[in-house]
Order: sequence, then structure tokens, then C-alpha cells
Amino acid sequence: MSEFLVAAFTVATVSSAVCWAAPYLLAALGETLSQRSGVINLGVDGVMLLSACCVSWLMAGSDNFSIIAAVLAGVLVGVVMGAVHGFVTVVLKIEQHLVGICVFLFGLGASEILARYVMTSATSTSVSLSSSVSLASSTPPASPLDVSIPMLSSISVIGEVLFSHNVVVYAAFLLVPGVALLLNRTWFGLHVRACGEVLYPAGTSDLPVLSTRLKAVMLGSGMAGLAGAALVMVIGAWEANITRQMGFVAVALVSLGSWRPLHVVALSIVYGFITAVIRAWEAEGLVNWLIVDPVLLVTISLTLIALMVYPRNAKAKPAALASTYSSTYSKSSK
Amino acid sequence: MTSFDNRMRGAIAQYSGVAIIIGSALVALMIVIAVAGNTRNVFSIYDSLSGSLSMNMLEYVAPLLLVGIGACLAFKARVINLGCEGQIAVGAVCSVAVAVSAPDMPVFMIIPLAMAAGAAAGVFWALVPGWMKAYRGVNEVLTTVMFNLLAVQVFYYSSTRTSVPLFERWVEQNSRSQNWVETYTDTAGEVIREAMSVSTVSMNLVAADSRFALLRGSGINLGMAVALVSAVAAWMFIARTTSGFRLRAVGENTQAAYCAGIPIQRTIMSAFIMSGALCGLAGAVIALSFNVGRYLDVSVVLDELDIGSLYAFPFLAFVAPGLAAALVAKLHPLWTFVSSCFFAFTMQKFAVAFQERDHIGDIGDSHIGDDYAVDMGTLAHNWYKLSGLTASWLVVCVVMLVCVGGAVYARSKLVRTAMWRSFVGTPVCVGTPVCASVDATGGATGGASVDV
Repeated sequence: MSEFLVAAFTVATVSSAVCWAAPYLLAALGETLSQRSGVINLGVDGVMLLSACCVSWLMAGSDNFSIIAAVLAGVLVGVVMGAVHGFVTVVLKIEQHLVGICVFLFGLGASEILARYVMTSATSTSVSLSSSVSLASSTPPASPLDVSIPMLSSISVIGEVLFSHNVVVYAAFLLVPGVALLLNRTWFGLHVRACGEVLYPAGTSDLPVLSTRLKAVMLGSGMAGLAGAALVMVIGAWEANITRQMGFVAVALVSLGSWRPLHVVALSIVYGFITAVIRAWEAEGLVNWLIVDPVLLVTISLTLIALMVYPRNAKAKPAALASTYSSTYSKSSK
Repeated sequence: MTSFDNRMRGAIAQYSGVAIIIGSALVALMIVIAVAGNTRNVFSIYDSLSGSLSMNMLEYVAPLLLVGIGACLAFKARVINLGCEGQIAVGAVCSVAVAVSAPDMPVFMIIPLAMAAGAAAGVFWALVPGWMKAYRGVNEVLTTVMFNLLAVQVFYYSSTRTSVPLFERWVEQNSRSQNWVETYTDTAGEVIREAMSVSTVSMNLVAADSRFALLRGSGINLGMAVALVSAVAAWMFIARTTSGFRLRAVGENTQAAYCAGIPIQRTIMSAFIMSGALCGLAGAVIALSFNVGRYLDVSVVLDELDIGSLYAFPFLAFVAPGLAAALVAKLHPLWTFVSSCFFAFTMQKFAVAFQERDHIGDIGDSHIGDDYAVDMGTLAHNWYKLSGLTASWLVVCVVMLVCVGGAVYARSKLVRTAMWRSFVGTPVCVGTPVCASVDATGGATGGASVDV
């Protein structure tokens, strides 16, 4: 028992918990944005998978420029998939949950195909397709994007835990106040919230419902793409089904965090810690379930239990979530 | 800003046909890629073990039809049960466990018992998401997908001999007396592949298998009969009974149904239970029609693969076409039979295409069974062999596109159908009316109107 605790609370584990929080955080923040505009995007996990695949494929060269380009390409993949999702749900008005699942399956299959038939021949040295469990290490590998903040990182424990990560992790945590300000202090945020809350008044007051929703979905999906990049940074290389379906957990985190960026941060730090601890136990050989994936099992079960028992806050939910908007104009012209 | 919206609306009104075609093309592409990336493992494993080029088309109809009927019943009540995957996995595991644990039982009892076990397992797996949907207002799409993930873990766990003791005793007992590896040769004598011998199955299970197949070699088996009977029963239920009427009423207009005194929550639960039972039955049929022993041999093959190459959704090849069959048939159980035959044909083309590709990889690279052996150079080397693959791939793409396009077009024509009204175009969203009426029942569930 005590060795479990010892492995869970080393500095390295807590430090990698911050790293592991980043993908959850980015995905959940993006999902918050798109759900506040009234579009539920269940395809987050597919976006993360595909962008992680692209990022690790492009990361073949190890110089800084190509890695930054790879991360940007991951974001671009997210934006494009968000545009597809937004087009089908917002413009064509097809049921949002089903489209989200389609996007997820597309990402899952496409990343698998890409990894098997494109990546193996191109970058067989840098991409490890083998089992993750045996090679699991508790600490993320060093990457050229690692930045230690000059003064602060020299503090004994806090420096290592908080101030010596890669750029994407810092970006994730800086995006929290960014998204909060965007939602609550700008015109665009007001439009987004209006589209999520009161659809028909928003439509009659000449608010650009379709374009606002499209933009929100694309932004949110781009953040999911960044989450995929963050995931590759933490793990270090592509492995099949790299996300372990953390995208669905992120979708659940949004509603558990009552659609507020700050609540979502707290929850994703908790999940990041859980993931880091389980991976540390795996690396120590304390958890050895062979074919079953402990991370997936524990996070998904915890999320389901939380959804069951969590007291639900009806007021926080965007009233127009998952509803489609068709203006009188398009109705009459049909 | 607004001009963008107006232009968009104008464009939609003017070019709605084009938009529908683009949308359906996107969806078709997504289905094709998703299935291609997710199902190859199970397909190829089943195929390599059965020794034939691919599984029989008729053998494939029954699971599709069962999944389709389950989807019909659930979607009629506007319950989007996407948990078919998990229910199939759990059903397969439980039916095999029952069939294996009673080797001395007479054959005519083993098959019904195994099927009942599969159905019960499916119900069990559908109960919790159903409860969460009906009484807690949690969106069922998210929860059923999560339950799928858990179920697939259960499936892999139980079908790996080394990690789990569920089938261990039985497999050991058989492996002592028989040779495990046998080389199959085709008529020309060329070595195709090494596969696990089906002769390791104990005599009783072979008997069960032969009893399960009603007409030897034709692919018509007991599962087909069960599926047809349940299709007729489901149609009778939906169209001719009070409970079926309640189901439809809840799906069409939940608030009106509530006002008419229909118990919403119990109806939703019953939709979940029926759909789960049918999907679990589909899992049992899959396990039985691919031969229980072969199912266990799959576990041997799984042993040799690493965890990264296990798929998140191994049964997607049955789930996606099953759901699509139900939707194309506009949720009519009897028409689902027709459309599932059609989809079975398409998906069998898939299987053939994948297997041809695998052969190319195997022969060209001489890494038999190596998952990652197919690279572009080998493919180019065997280009003449690719023509068959490309042709069948194109057929699959076109057929899928026509199906989905037809479905989306039917949507615009038949707006009065409850399904499409609930799914497309109306501002009444999928989750909320249920929850509104749940709130009206008087706060017993608290603020249950949040859905995820």
C-alpha cells in the first residue's frame, strides 16, 4: 500500500500531472466554448487523435522549427475538422450527437490508417508503434519546446512542478483566463453566449447565429487539436489510440464543471493527476493488468460515477444546447 | 457578419440538393474510413480462422438485422442507444462463457441458454445508461459510448487466456490433446497461412455448432431464424400493441405523452432494455455462428498482438451498418431486413477487399501475420493484384454514398416521419422535452434537466 502512495507523490509524478492536465484542459476548454454557443461536439476525441497523429508524423525532424510547424498543423487539423462538424450540424442541421460520433469514428479510423500506412515507412525510427504499457514512463520525455522559466524554475519543488514544462502546457494554462475573458468580456463572447442561451430572440435581433456558432465550433475544435499536440508532447511518440478516449472525459468535464472555464480547470487538474499517478504505477510495475488499459478504465468509470451522483446544476446549462436554428427566411424560401 | 449568414441561408435555400449531396458524401466517407480503420483486425482474424475467403453474406445478415431492430425500437422512443457495440461485446462474452461452462449439457439446451445469456448481458449493460437517461437526465449518447469502451475492455480481458482464468481450464483441457497449429493449404497446394485448428473444439461444441447452422454451408443458421422472428415480433410490438404506441408517443412528442398519462421514464427504460436485449442477442449470434471454439482461438491470436493494435471498437463492422440499415429503412423492422441484407452484401465486399490487401502484404513481404508489413512499395509491386481491391473499394464507396444520400434525401421528402422530425430541423432538441416532463413530475429527481 505504501509503495503506491510513495509512487503517487513523488515530485516527478506531480510534475507530470501538470503536463497530463494540459490535454484534458485544452480539450475541455474548447468544448466549453462550443457548448456555450449551443453546439455539442462529441467528436473531440477524434480531433485529438487525428491531430496527434499528424503532429507526431510531422515531428520527424527534431529542430525547433519543424516541431512548431507540427503543433500548428495539429491546430489546423482541429480547425478543419471543426469546420466540417460545424458545417454539418449548424448549416445542414443534422443531429449534433450523431455527427459528433461520426467525427470521432472518422478520427479514430483515419489516424489508425495514417499511422499504419504512411508513418511507418516515413519515420520508423522516431515513431514507436509498439506497446505502450511496457515502455510507459512516469515522466514526459524531454522535447526541444521545453522552457524553464528563468527565475522561478530554480525554486526547489515548486519550480520543477510548475515552471519547467513545454510551451504547450503553458499555453494551455494561459488559455484559461483567455477563454474566460473571451466569453465574458467581449462582443464575440456575448454573441456566443446569446446563441447558446436564447436562440430565437438572438435570431430576430439580427445576430449572426450561424457564423457565430461556426466560429465557436472551429475555435473549440482547434483547441482540441492543440490538445492532441499536447498529448504527443507528454507521451513522446505516437501509439495506437493515443488518447485512450480522454476526449469523451473532456466532454463530461464541461458539464461537470457547469460550463465555466475555471471549474473546468480544477477538474482537469484532478484528472491529469489521476492519469499521471496511474502511469507512474504502471512504470513502477505496481499495476499490471496486461491487456486491459487501466488509465481508460479508471478515468471512464470515474466519469460515469461522477455523472451519476453529481448534483446537477440546471441553470448553468446553455438553454439552446444541441438545438438547431433555422431562420424564418430559409423556411419561407423552401 | 450578418451578410455571411444571409448568404449562407440563401445558398442553402438555393442549392439544398448540392448541400445534401456534399453532406452525405462527407458522412459516407466518414463511415468508410471509420470502419476501415477499426474493423480490420476482427474481420481478418475471423476470416483467417474460418479458412474461407470471407464470412458468408447470409451469416452476416442476422447480427445486422438484430442490431437494426434494436436501433428501431430505441430510436422510435427517441432514445439514441449507441451502446450496441458494448452490448454485443458483453453478449458474446457471456454466451461463450455459458456454452463453455456446461460441456456435458445436451446440445438443444446449450444454444438457447447461450442466447439467453447473451440477451441478459445486453440488458444488464443497457440498464445503467437507461437509468441515467430516464431518471437523471444525463444524455444517453455520451454514457452509452463510455459503456462501450468499458465493455470492449471486458471483451479483451475475458478473451485473453493469459490474463484471465475465465476460459483457461477449458482451453488447457483441449490443448493438451490436440495440435494447436495446423497449416491450411488450398487446392493448388500453396500455403496460404497458418491458423489455429478448429479441431481443438470439443465434440459437444462441434455438435452445437452444426446444430446451429440449419443448412450446412449456406450460411443460413439459427441466428437468422431468431432474427427474423424477432423482426416480426418487433413490428407487431411497435404497430399493434399499447406499449408500442407508448413508445412511439414518447418519441414523437414527449410532453403530449406526459399529459396523456404515459409513464415517460418507464417507457424510456423499456426502450433501453429491449434494444439492449436485441444487441446482446446479436453478440450471442456472432459468437455462435463464428463457432464458439473459433471465438476462443481468437483469444489465442489476441495474445500475440500488443495492446496498441487492439481496436477501441472491434464490432464496429456490425454496429455501423446495423444502425445505417435501421435508418435507411425508416425504423420499420421488416424493411430493416431488406436493408440489412443490402448492407451485409456491402460489408462483405469490405471483408473481401481487406483480405485481398492482407494477402498482398503477406505474400509480398513474407511476414505472415505481421500487422505492419504492408508498405507502399509492396503495394506498388503487387499493383495488378490491387485492381480487384480498388474495384471493390470503389463499389463500397459508391454504395455507401447512395445509401446515405438516399436516406438524407428521404429526410427532406418525409419530414412527417417522427424519426426525422426529431433528428433534423426542429428546434425541439433531443434531450430536453424528456427532462422538462421529468421536472414536472415534482422534483423527485432534483434538477434533472441538465444533459451533457
